[in-house]
Amino acid sequence: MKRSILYGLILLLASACTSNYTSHIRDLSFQNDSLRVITMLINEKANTIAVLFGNELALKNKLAQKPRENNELYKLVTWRQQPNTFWYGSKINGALLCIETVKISSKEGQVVPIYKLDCFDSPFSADLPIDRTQRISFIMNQQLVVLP
Amino acid sequence: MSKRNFQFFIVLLTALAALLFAGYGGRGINNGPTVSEIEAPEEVKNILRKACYDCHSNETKLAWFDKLPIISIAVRKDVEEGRRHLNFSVWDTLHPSEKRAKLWDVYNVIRADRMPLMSYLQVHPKAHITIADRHILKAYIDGFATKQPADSTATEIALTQYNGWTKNKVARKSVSPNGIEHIPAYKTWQVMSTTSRFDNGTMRVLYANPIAAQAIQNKNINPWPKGSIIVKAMWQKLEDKDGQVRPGKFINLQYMVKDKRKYRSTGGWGFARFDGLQLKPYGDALILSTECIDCHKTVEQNDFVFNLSTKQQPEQR
Repeated sequence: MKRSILYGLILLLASACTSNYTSHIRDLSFQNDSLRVITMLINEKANTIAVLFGNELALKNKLAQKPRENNELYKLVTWRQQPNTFWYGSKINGALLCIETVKISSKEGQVVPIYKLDCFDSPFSADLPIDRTQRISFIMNQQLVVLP
Repeated sequence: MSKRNFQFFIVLLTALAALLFAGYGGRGINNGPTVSEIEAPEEVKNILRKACYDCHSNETKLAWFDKLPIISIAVRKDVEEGRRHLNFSVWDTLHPSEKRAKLWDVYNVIRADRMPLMSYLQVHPKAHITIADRHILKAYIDGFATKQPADSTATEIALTQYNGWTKNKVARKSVSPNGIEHIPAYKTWQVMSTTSRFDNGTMRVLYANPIAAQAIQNKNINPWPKGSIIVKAMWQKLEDKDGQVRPGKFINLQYMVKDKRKYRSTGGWGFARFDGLQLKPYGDALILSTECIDCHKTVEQNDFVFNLSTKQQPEQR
């Protein structure tokens, strides 16, 4: 009996040691790889927080205020905004909601933006007003954030 | 008990009492004047007085046992340290933005059960902060939430900065007084998280270098491996009437560099900050070895890192 209580206590202690905060940490839900930050956006009404990424060409042309060019790539990654567990006064990106991709392609001598939406949260996607032209314009018109 | 044993017992008792009370009330705590006490609702002040003032004001009230030798040394150290960090008796020496930051800090250390110190609570049970007290404090600091409207002035400041940056966009070399160097390649690193602060009206993107990013994926972050670097880029928030928020003026870059031997006294992390477009190194070696870790101690159980997203919705208490 005494031995089983002792084992129980050891098990309890072990589980207490392993159930630290790391088990609650989310994986990195979006691997930006070679993409870099163009800007970040928050929508307080929709309670979302987003980062717009672009490839090197997209950043270079945006900085030089050049027109769109074949092979520019943009990804607007939107997360649900949630309270930061570790600091009251801070909100942080939570569940990944959707990724909007705009790729500039060349077609018969003209550049054409191709829009793609990947949603990972159905209630959010149902509410999302999908006006492709408007979304392309919104994504393409974001100003590069100052990042020395 | 024989007479001889009794005499020995009395001598021993006297010696013990002499040891305990030697220097009783000696080099005690010097309570200076209250120059400018915090102005807050009385119910808030009452909580601060009962739970914080003994160490964070010039109105320290020592119990008799606090004056005992050995104990008094530890008490004096706590009070001196406490007043250095925050002193409610000289509240007006702080800039308004520092006052706001201190109040959010107070609430967060209480929320994390870091303050009042457990050792203090054990002998001063009246200092215990109840759930009702927390609600009062939370309601009070919520009144200091910051919103920066995207008005013409703030927008103009951001635009001027943007134009200055695009015209003179060079990778800057900048080294903090503690030797931590700015790494321009941070922009190519993995984005670790992104945060929005309503306590100070800023928004941030956090980057993790390849070692740190791998550590997050492997859940190998308690402690983080040597060589992990986290960089936080911070901007002022600009919010329009529809609740759309975008970055305004760039404020600074903040670094955390993991090396448990090199930065032993600051939780194994080296801290650095580079301000403004010029990335001017902040502080001196002393400030960098105290100021940052003072705040990051709130999340000591997380190996001092605040900005990682958790799966569960946290309780906002």
